[in-house]
Amino acid sequence: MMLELINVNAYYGRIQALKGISLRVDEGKIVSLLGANGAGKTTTVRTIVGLNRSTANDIRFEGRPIGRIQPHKIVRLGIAMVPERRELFPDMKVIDNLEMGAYSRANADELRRDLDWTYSLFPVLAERRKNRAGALSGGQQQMLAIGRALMSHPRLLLLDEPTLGLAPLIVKQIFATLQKLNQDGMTILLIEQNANQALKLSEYSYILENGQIALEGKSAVLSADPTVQRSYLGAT
Amino acid sequence: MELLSQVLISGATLGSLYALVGLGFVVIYRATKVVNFAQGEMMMLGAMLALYFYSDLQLPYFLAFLLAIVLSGVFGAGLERFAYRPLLNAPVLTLILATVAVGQMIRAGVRILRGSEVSRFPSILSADPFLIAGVAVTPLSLSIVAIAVVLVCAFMLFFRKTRLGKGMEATSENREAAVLVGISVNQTFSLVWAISSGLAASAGVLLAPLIIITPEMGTIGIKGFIGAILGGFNNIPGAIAGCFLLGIIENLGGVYIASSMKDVISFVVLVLVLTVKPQGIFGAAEGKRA
Amino acid sequence: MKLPPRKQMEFGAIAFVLGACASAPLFLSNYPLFVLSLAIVNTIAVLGLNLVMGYAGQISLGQAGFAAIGAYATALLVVNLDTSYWLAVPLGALLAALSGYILGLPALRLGPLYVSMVTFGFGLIVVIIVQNWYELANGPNGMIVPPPVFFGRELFPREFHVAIVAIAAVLFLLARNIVDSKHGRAFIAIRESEIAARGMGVNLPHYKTTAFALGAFYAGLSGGLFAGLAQFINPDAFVFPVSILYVTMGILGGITTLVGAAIGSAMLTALPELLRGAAEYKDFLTGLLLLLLLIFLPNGIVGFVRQHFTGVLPAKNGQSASGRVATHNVLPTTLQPRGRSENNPILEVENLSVSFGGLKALQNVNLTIRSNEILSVIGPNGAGKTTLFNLISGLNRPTAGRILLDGADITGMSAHSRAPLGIARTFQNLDLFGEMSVLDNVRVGAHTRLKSSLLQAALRTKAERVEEARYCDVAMDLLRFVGLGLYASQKANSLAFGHQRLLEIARALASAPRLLLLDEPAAGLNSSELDFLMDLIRRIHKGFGISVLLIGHTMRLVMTLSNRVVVLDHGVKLAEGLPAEIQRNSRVIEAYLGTDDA
Repeated sequence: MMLELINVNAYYGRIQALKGISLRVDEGKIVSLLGANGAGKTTTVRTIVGLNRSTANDIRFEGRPIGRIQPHKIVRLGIAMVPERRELFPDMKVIDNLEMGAYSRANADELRRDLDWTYSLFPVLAERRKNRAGALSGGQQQMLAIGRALMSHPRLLLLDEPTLGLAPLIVKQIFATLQKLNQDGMTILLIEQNANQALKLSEYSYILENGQIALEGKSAVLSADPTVQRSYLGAT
Repeated sequence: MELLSQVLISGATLGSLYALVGLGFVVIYRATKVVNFAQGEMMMLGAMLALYFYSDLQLPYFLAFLLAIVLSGVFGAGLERFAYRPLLNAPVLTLILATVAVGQMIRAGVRILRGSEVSRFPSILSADPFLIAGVAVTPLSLSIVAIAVVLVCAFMLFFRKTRLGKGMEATSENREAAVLVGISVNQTFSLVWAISSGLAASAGVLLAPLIIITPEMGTIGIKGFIGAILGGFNNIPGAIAGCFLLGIIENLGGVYIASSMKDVISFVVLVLVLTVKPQGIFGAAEGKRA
Repeated sequence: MKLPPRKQMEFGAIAFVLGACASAPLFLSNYPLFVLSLAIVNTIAVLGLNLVMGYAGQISLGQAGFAAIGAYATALLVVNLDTSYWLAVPLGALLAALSGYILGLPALRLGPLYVSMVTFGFGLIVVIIVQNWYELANGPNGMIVPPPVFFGRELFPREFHVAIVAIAAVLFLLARNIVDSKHGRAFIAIRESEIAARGMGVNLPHYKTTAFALGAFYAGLSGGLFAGLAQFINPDAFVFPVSILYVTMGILGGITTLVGAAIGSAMLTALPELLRGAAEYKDFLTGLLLLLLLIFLPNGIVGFVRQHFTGVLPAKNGQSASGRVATHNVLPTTLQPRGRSENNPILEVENLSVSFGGLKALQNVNLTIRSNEILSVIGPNGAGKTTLFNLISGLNRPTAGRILLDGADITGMSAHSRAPLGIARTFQNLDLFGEMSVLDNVRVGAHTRLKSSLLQAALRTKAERVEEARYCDVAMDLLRFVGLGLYASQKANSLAFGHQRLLEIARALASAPRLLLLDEPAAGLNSSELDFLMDLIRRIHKGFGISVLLIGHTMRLVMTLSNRVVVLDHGVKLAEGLPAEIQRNSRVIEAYLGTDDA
């Protein structure tokens, strides 16, 4: 088991966004976190990386509690996050954004290798490596955001709505890349609004509703469950 | 024509000093959204320290220069740690007022330690002008411009090519994303303030032989700020260009309008720019968002 | 009229202080009397600063510059034009007010960064100009001002002191009246949230320039009085550290209060006199004091006292809204039901499009809201729902298309002009005026229905008082209607989250809207709070015939309450119809849950 949250509470401003969340992500698996808007998905990952502090902070990574670790040190543990809306460094070049991803690392050779690896996953980034990040298209920016996260050589990758606002073709591409990363050993926690695709990609899923886990289970099983649809649309 | 070139030369000299100070302003603003009203006082501090090391302690000029800058940098980092970091999450207004308070303290502190006496920096280079392409240039102003340009370039190299420098830029562009990739915001801020203070101090040291040194000389520093706004506050090369431009405009105004009105001219320019194009001459127009 | 005990105490305290100050000439010798007079003169300048910076939230680092204008105008009029001192002072103040107004103009579009620079620069320029003006003002050598004369009789120093006290008292009263009026609330609203203020109909440019003008007026008056008090003015009296001193006085006393101005001035006027001759120490200590105040006591002395000694208990997080409220089913009298039988559209959105920097947020959206209808707009994250709201309420302008309210084209109108036409809104992440009381938040909602001018407010004319009382009652009625009557005097920030949502709704209703825009009103509410909200919306809809446009993700609310539902996806209208139809619509399901192909 790589990541575990035990009864985590968190506040977003004055709203209690998380009310006793417990979940786990096993090594080498893809787990998805689904739910309607405002359910608390983003708060969950922000709490994991420390951008949002939880009040009960029993969060464990590889067995070790990380709830009190300063957010800028989280990446050194091997957790990288691709934030909602990408959050690139828009005036810096693509290559600089990628190098920033490796800020916490010292070894130049390993860095070089990871850079080549990232370019092989996303060839368009190699082509446009001297361009300003802000000038890229939505899909390219998303790839850059994922690439930047990969540059820290993480063992756990957190993605917050990576397909937000992207065309279906790009969505396909990104999901395919995530699949490949997982096949190569990356553990992934995926937040998605696009429930169907996420359920297809992941092995296990949690459905959040109003800051609590309403439903969880093997993704294949949940796919066929009509209550998932109700959670999103309120229909019976 | 000769007068014009003279004005341009002295304008460029002044402008290069404004650029050093203005650069510091912009670096702080981009990283923290704070206007550092004490930046001029950092410049004065640099001049005072250099005076102390060179004149009082009789150290070699180069050493005095270096010590003044380094000490100012350390002082700036100290300010960040003790005066500004407690206000990290306070409204911007509070932080701005804090820098105003600190500026006043530095000014008054220097007056207490050194009295209000006026000092002259001993001349290090000959003041005899020589001719370059028919224009009279003094070794002093030449070296000032040269050193200023070197410092600005060194800073730009640091900023654009080193890991730390790029980290500073990343923090300015997107603080949360910077945290996510492992950049410590506190460390970055310390660095930002240290470097800005060092830059301002270097401007002070370079300026010292040109003018009378008093605790009040920090008010010149605000010109660096105006020049940066003129050029484009969110855009470092633009800010530098703006500062040079301001130096020239001021001198032109000083010659053709009235010498005492130089400051007024700068502020009129400031208000005009802010009214017409707040992003500065070289700044990019922002999109219309709520 | 019998005042409540606390008011009586305040009244008594103020009367005592005034009396003491006015009778000071009887028991103070010349020099201490001078210091007291000076403190009072400074208080006037700081009062102005508190109005601009504390109440309206606009940073002003050039207050001494305005004082200089008042002082020099007074001096020049008296010395060179033989004007009566008592006429010169208000004229000088008016000149200062005009400069303040002009200075406020660039401040309209600029953030605090630039405003600080502009006001700072202004202060510097005034001093430079005066320093170089040898002709009449004597440059750095300053001007001598003859002692103020009243009907041929010299007033100095004792009677002049009494005059200063009287003038200060009047100015204080005027400031107090302004602060307690709709204009004062508008200032605070601007400080707390410009966006919400605009939504309530507060005209930002007007109020910002007014704030600057007001602050400058007080400073100018203070300068004029200083000229008569010191009988000598020179540029040194108005340099930048003086502006900083005023700011420090304001913050020391409590910059968001009026009383604080007096406290701060009194303390910091005495201080330099005690340290006379050691000017460096005075500046250093002032700077240090300001810094320490900013870090440890940003609300000043009065703020500190109010926080710790007036026991208003903040509500705890997570308190459920429904449990504590007594619903008041009687309709507030001033929100009369409107023509319910009409089926004319209240709002028409025609081919509306908007792009932000290349991103098409909305494309050709068409929408009609009929009278007396509840329409919900739903859609996945990023669909453009809040953008649509922002366009309808006027916070953004569309790049194409029209918006018609009751048939009239409002597309080009500013946000604050739409409020009086009948549009009111709430905000997704709440945008209350946190530091204001619950009641005052609602009263700001009625801003456009109150008609008295600043002058009428300052003088507390009968008409103004009647109007204020009436709409205070309206606001209380609304609070009771949403169930918050018990919390009227608490700070909005201290309410539980669910209650804050209700407060926003009450505030929106205060403008007697015809169309109510609710942006995710149920986000973050628990299930009993949600029940209460749904009931409230029903009561609003049935009781007043107000049309409601709602953005929601809480499907229970959306599907149960709406007459019709519109679905947006990627900036385009995907579907429209009855709730049940939408729930079964396969394209809608696909938009939310994603396609099945992979």
